Amino acid sequence: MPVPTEESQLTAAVIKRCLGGDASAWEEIVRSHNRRIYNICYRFTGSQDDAEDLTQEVFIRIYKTLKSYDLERGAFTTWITTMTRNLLVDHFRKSKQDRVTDSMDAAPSADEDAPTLGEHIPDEKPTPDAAVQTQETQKMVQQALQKLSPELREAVILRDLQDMDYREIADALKVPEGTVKSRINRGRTELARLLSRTYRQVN
Amino acid sequence: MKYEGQNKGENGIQCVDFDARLADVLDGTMSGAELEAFKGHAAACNDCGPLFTQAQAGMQALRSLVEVEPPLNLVHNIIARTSAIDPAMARQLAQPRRTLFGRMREFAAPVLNPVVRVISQPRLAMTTAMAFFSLSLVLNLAGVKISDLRHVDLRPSAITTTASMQYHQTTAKVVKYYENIRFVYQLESRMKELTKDATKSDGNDQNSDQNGNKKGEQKQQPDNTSQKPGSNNKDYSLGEGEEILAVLRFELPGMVQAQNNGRIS
Ligand SMILES: [Zn+2]
Repeated sequence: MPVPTEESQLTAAVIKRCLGGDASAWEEIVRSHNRRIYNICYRFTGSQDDAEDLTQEVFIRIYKTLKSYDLERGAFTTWITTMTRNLLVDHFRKSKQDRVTDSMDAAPSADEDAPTLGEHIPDEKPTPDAAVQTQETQKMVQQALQKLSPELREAVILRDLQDMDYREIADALKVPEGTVKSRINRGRTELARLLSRTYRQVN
Repeated sequence: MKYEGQNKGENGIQCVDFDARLADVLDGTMSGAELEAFKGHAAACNDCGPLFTQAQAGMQALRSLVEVEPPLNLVHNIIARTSAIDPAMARQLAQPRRTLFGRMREFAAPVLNPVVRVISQPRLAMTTAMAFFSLSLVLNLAGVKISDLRHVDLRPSAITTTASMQYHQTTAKVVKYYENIRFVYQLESRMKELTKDATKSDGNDQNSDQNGNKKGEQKQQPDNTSQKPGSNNKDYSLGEGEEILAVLRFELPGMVQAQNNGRIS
């Protein structure tokens, strides 16, 4: 059983108010979690529109199932993460766009050589300023992230972008901690390989 | 090719264990003799060495990604949608401000008031639907096209929330929200014109109503220039603009080297 922290007690109080029909409590929940959920969805899908839709769906689901949340069984954030993650899985299954990257062990395929990045970077770029370079790098990393299998992608997003610990990630994804760690290792190394390949292509 | 590390265990560490503890090393939770043994294995093992460099580079790349800004209308769109599920909660959210028209007035109070005085005659006694109709009317008179508001939920059930939420967000956050800012700027400039007319004709209130509106309409053209510079970039409200401020921390050449290391072995 998790130790009831001050934060979890506050959360519990807000949830209680919300379940009691207090609309401002619900607004509080939405305000304090929308940013995080949106970011997870954005990094997973790579699309702002999808992230917006998915975040709304997540909150509708939270709203409908809030009374089933059991404080004793884990942190609210973890519960929300699981819900977000489940919707992302559904979304992933529905959308065919990601199917190429479905196999996580497959060597990076030919489609990777498609000049997606080259399109955005002008050929004659003597000294692009730092801001542009940074933006390009962000784009590059996001595109590489998109090529990871969903299992590896979600693991590194939760660890490296959301700063969740292994225990929380294991709880959210419902897999053992060892599996989480090895997915994170593989996600990171795979991403570095994809990036170095892209980097050599562009330069 | 020799994989001496794999079976023997370089520096007393098996490759399997290396993989298991890799995350801990990168987290900085390993120290002392254990860390030294780990580093020794990485230096000696042809499999684990590149793995270590790549995992580190990948981690740094991921952590260089900046948090993106959610669209500003996200929160109120969420609340509008969940309110539709639970009407009781929607009513509650609507309560603090009496009528829809009241809320609209507060939202655009400084510029809208003189006009509202003319339009919101008591005899109109508006229902929500009526109020919504009037809203479109006001906006039309003000030269704002409804299509300009396409990202804003205009269902009557949602507008209740929209109006009050936007009111709350106006001062600080609206600045970043393109749709809103354009709306506000357009509304403001149109309203300034209308206000002038409405003030001029304050004495003969009702009759001058139409004149005032006509004048407002005639002045539409010059007002097109009054939009905020740069605000016609559709992507303004989107998170990517924020990324410009990020600082690049990971080094790609290091990764290339990592890759090469992997190949040499
Ligand atoms: Zn090894």
